[in-house]
Amino acid sequence: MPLRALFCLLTLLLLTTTTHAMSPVAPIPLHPSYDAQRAALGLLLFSDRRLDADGDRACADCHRLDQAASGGAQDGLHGHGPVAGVNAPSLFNSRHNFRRFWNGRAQDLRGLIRQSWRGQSAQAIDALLTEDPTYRTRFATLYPGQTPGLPEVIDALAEFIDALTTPNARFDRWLRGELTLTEQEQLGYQRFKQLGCISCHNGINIGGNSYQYQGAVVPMQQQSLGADRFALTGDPFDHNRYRVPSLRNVALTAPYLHDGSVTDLRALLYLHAYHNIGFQLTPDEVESLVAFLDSLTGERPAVLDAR
Amino acid sequence: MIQPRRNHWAVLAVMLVGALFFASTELTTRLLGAHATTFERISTLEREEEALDKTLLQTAFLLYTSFDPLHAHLAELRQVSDALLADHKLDRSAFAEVHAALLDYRALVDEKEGRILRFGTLNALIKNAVSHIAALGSRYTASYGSDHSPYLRHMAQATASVFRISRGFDLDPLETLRESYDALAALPLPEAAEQAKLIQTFMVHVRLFIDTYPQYQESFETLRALPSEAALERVRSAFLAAAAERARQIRYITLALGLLFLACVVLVLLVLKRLDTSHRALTLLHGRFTQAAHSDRLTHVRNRFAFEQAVAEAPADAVLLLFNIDRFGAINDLYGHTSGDQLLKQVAAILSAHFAARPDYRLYRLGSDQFGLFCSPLQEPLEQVADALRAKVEGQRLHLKGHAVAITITLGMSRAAPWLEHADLALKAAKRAGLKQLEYRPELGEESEVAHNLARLEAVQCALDEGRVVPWFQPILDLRHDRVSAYECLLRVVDADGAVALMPGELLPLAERGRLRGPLTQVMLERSFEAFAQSDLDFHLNLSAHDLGDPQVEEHLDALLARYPGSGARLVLELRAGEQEGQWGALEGFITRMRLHGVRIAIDDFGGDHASLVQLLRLPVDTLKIDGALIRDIDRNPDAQALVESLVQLVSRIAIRHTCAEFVHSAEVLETVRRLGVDYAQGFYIGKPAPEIGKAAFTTENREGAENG
Repeated sequence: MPLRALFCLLTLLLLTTTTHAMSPVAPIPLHPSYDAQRAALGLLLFSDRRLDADGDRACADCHRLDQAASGGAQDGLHGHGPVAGVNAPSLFNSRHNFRRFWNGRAQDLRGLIRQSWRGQSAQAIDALLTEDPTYRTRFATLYPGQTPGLPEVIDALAEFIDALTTPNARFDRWLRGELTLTEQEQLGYQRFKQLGCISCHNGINIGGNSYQYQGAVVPMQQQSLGADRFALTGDPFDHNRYRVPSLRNVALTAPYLHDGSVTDLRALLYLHAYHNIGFQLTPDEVESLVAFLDSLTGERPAVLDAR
Repeated sequence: MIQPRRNHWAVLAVMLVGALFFASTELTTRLLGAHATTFERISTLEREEEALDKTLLQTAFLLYTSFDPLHAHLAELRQVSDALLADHKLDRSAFAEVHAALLDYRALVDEKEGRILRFGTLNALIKNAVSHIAALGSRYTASYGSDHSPYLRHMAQATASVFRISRGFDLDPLETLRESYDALAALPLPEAAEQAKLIQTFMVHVRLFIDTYPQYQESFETLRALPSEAALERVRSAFLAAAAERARQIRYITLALGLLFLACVVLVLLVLKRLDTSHRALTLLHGRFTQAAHSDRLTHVRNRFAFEQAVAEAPADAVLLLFNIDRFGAINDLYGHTSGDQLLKQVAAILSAHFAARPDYRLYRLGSDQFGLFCSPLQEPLEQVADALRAKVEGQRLHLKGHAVAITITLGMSRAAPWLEHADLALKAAKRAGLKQLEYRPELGEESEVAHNLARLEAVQCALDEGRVVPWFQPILDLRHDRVSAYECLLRVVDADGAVALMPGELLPLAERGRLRGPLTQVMLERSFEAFAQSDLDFHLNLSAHDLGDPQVEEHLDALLARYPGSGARLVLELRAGEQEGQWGALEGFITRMRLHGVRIAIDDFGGDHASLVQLLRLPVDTLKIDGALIRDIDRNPDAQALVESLVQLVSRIAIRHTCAEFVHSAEVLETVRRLGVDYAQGFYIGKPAPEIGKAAFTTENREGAENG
């Protein structure tokens, strides 16, 4: 049957030319470069509610360290337009994201913290650093010759956030040839690629390196909450276009999506596959994908244990 | 002569230019380094741009790929172009164009990133659509391949179109794809739910492909068409042009500085050359000055200054022989100053030549007619040296204006410092005492001489006051009649007992200085006229040049001639030969007036002094008294005899009537002068001066004495 033969040949051609690719995912470096002492000081600050003007919230209250520094829908502390209800994204491995925030409106971490600082005034920070004996001694040691103030606080916080990396995920170790993934996990990765998830979730952070549509194939009835690119650029092309979140530690970062509207990973997979790749996944497919995604959970960042 | 300050400026200029030269070299090196860095950055941008494009193509082509390399390249482009923009070396006006091109490029990088991200979104959609179309087709064929429904045909056609479009980057088959899509949509869905769902999903992706692909292709082409490489090329060429301009400027500056440096080197060479020249000139001049400072301009022997230096370095046993030429003033007066200079030169030449081979004898000119012979070490007895010196000078005939002149010298010597002062004292003492030479002794000291002089002056004054200034009388023998025909009146200062206290030789010069000469002459004239008032003998009176210059003396003479009538015919005035030079006219007038009174004139000391014979012989003179120097040893000296004989003959031919020989101290001398035809004789042999006329009788006793009358 010439028609079928031709069809088969074409299909084969398309698949061979497009599936033959270099590894689209890279492992997290084992030894991230950062100043351990400043990062440790940053951890103190990150968890210190006294930095807040109202005194009732620390950074760690939204970016929960037991949830890969993510935290669900928040009231928009880093205000840039109407962002109330936006899901606080994970800060783990965020140094490998090409942009920060859902719409990628910031790139430089220190600049971001400085511009979006909603904590204590500079004078109050100065007073805190002078009064608190721990801060007094540690700032004096780590920033010699300077009177510590907000810039040093921001520096220590940034150093801490940069230190939040999670190497040695099972998947990374598999990439490095250190272990063999389970069949389920391998199957999940194969499906991850076949389904085209990899088109957006690739690179070292398996995401976090491009802007893509939410509801690319089948539009979603969902409020952007001003967190999409359109809120930033006003370009109609950017409606519902977001920075792709990293899938690293995705098992820990529920709830999901920019509005934190989905709390279950499996539910997310069904929903996300339908709207973004036009498929209705089978439970079998979802299970394998979940197995693969679980293998992306890395080690707890070393800095969290440095006190 | 170069001023030192100008040399300093030259050296300063050289140093400045040198510093500038090295500074500019350093600057050039730094600039080249900066240019190399800039150029390397631009090259990095070009490389990264190229790598970005390559990665972009890969991203477009590969189904599974990471976006991370794109961001890595973009980050590098941003970082390097920001570094270039921040480089203050490119902020100057020369690089304005580079800066502007860089700003353009930087804006393009941002735009490119935006477009890449946009392309990335569309690319994901297209890739997924393509992938799913193929996969769904595959699944459909696997599940429903035996079904000869029109679905499979349309799906296969759609898949072929997608392949052609996506791999060919060609929009033409899009219409065919639409037709396939429309054909699929026109077909009723199969009743089997799975099959219908598969076809629906297939159609969703085809729809997505149809809707998105034109945008995708446009996005890709816009991205490719982005003029970032052209902008980078503009940056590069603008930089190369500016750098070349810069390099040209530097080359000119370096060239100019190099030339300036060379010019300065030449300047320094010139300065050095001029310094060398002037140094040599100065050295020469210094030599001349030293020589001039140490030598006498007239005689070219060492001068007083040289002597003082020699004294400063002289050993204690050095000896000075100081001498001057006797009656040098008279020579000057007689022959003129030029001749005096000639004489000094000849004396200096003779002695220089004589002592040329003896470095231990050094000749100095220490005064107008005063020379010094400084000896160190003294190798012969001092007397012997003095005799040799005297013999050398006095033994020479010196020539002045054609005349041969013999000179005598007086020596003062000193064996110890202060040589000059002591030798001078000794010399003066020798002159005073009429000695040829004298060695310094402490009692010749200045104080004793002054005191001595004062004492003698006082003594003379006292003698004048007390009438102890008296004429003594020495007989003059008339050789033709062999009788004493006249007396010469000689001034004597006597003591209370009538003995001689002072001799006129030491008295008169002192008297002249002490203004006592006038009174002394007056006393002499009065006493002599008085003594010969009653006598019929002739009497001789001496008048010095000082007397002749004193109008009171002539007045006094006139008065005495009037007071003692007839005495004029017996009076002979003796004028010293040589003293009258320079005042011939006045003298001639005086003689003429005296002769009116019958007074005769005699020339005293003729032949011993350097009297100008021609001038003398013009005077209306009666008697020529031949100097003792010619007579003293005339009996044994044929030269003196010949001279006196010719003198007598000469005198007989002119208006001078008589000759008189002085210093006749022996019978032999008396006989000789008599034989030679001399008219009168005077001397100790005939009679010593005596206080009274006639007391000194003619005596044959041969005596010696210094008195020459």
